[in-house]
Amino acid sequence: MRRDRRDRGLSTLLSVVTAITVVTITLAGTMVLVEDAFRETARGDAERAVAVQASDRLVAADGPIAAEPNVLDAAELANLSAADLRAVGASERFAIAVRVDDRTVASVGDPDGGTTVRRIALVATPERVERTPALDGSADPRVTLPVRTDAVAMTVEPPPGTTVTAVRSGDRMVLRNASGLSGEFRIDTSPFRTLELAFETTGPLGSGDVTVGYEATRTERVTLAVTVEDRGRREGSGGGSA
Amino acid sequence: MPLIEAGVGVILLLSLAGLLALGSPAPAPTDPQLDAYASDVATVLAEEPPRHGGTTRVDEVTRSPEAFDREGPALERRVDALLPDNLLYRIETPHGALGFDRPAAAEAGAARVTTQHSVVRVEVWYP
Repeated sequence: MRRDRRDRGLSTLLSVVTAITVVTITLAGTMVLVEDAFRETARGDAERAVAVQASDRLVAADGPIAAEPNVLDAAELANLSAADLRAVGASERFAIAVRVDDRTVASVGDPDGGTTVRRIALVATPERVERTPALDGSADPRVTLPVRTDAVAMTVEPPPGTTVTAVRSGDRMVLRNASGLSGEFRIDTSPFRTLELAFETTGPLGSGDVTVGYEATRTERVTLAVTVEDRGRREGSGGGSA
Repeated sequence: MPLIEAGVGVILLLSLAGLLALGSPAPAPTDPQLDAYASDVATVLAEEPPRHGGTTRVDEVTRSPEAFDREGPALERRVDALLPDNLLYRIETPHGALGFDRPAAAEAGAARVTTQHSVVRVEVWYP
């Protein structure tokens, strides 16, 4: 009878210990799982926020490589440096790489994986364009050029027997010389409207007698991919390296 | 008895863990990538010179219904060229819409451009 009671007491103690152990292990496992879930979410959020912010800065007009909103300067894009990337958010903790159409142009920390944000942008390359407008050989010709620029250089070489006395753009007299215009002239134009030139001549003016040169920009559409990897959180310390 | 209680405790804890594992990392309501694409398209179009009249390409299509009919197809081609191939788009202007009809289930990124005449809305989504 005494022995029975002692056995029951022992078995109760053993089952209480087992129960507490099992519950404690489960609790620990649950906490690890929850902690991991939260950390993963926080890490992804930080990466995405940095990636969005960095890509916003890169395509902004006052950013390191953009000339206008979403228009990148080709020369500055080629010279994109690690210092520029640090200015837009790269650090010891966040590794950033910038790719243009799958070609890496710059990187800090060489991210492996991470979050990528893609932006649509245009790359502008300045180029000098020379045009020879087609003229039909009649007097007082008109020329319309699909150009929006602030200045053009025009060369007038009238054939013998023809004198160009004036050049108008719309209602504006841009060049005038009663004794004849010949040579190269610089004309200020409006970048907000298509260039129209009307010549006043005393005789016929054919193709090749007038050439127009101007600075234009050639634009090309590219995808700018900004990849960010959060290095600080992956080690699990939470604070990252200093 | 204590083992039954422990079992109940374990089930409770596991259900809590399961709830967190399944329910907590909810995706963001709008994908920042889609919003970025939409605002990029809107910005590029709002900066580009028009083909004929107006101040910008977006302004051009909002000037009049005739201008919309004339310039709409060209604007559509331009947006086709700008966007990656795996995206569909819709551009809403007061004179009509360009692009595709958006399915109700599709999660879209959106951006707005204000022009001299009205507001143009750009939406993009994954098909």
